[in-house]
Amino acid sequence: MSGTHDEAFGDDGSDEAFADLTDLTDSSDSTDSTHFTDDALDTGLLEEELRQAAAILDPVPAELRRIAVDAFALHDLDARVAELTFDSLVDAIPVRGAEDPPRMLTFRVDDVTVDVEVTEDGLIGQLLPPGPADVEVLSGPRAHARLTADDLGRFTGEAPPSGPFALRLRTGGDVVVTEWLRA
Amino acid sequence: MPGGTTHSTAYDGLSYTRGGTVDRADVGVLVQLAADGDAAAWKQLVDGLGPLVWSVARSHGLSDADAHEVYQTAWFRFAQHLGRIREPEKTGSWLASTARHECLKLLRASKRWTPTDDPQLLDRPSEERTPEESVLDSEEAAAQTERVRRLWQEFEELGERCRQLLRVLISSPPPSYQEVSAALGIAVGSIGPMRQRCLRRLRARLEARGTTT
Repeated sequence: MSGTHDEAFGDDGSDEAFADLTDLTDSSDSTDSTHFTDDALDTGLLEEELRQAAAILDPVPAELRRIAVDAFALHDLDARVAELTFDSLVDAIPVRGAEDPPRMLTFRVDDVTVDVEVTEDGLIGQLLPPGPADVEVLSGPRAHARLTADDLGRFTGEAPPSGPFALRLRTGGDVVVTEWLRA
Repeated sequence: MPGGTTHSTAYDGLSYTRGGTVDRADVGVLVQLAADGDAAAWKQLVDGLGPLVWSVARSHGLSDADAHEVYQTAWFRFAQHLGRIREPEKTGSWLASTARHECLKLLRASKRWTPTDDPQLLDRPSEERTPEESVLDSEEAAAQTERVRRLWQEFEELGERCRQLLRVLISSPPPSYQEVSAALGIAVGSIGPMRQRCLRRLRARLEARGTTT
């Protein structure tokens, strides 16, 4: 690639020049008014044309838009959101020789901590302070699986589905939901 | 650090430099309405900010499947935090930042950089036609389609940084520079000059092509 070279921006300086981007072939008498072209205006037009191209060739897929619309059902002001405070993918120092280390996640809200370990085989969790809980594995607005935490706050399940997931834990009248993330 | 849940306020002192403010003026109101249970407001947010979220996923060179997951994760997390976000009017930046962090995690997890140049993209069968596509059905459709494709092709052949910046800038409606900054982790002040540079480069490519073919 030759990089930028201002003298190459030949056009007649009119706004229509970029409405005809690919048809400059025959009118490429590049030089004259180039230096007087309003550069900002021209790049603005080009950006607008590119925006239209993106809307045509790379739009938000229709099914994704629908999923985002349906995600409104996840809005739940009664639940407390446990934020991700540790993610081995980001925070851990890689262990030499560990080919495919498990993903360790910690979520926290107020006095509640949820530790989760995700491997290919399954999901292991620990609720603190320890205690029984109903645990739902969410993969979108609907529950993907239902688990139970024992008296020590431990729970296990099959690996969460690929794609984003969250855990909804119910202990007595209290509901805690972990922040959505991709396993 | 919880990715995406904190958003930078470093650029609060800077004014918006693009028209995005007009399109974004209602965001704070819509977020409040949605938080109060207004599903129609939520839908408007999805339509107004969805393309920005999608552009962030696309600009990071993810595979289609990964881009889909980033998009979903950002919206699920936003639904979850709806009503708890401190500055609802900055939701666009919040979503862009959340999407960016998810992109970086995915890239770290896969340790691969899957090229975004998907040849099928250009020949995607258009079963579900957008309004823009329908325009192409009208007369002069062939010429117009060809022009759009060539423009897109030149865009995709730009360098990584320019492609990334422009892909976010050309989401629709146009994002504010604050949103672009959140989407790509670059300073607001450097966006304008980079944008000019990248568009000039693209124009040079188009003209070079126009004169040689």
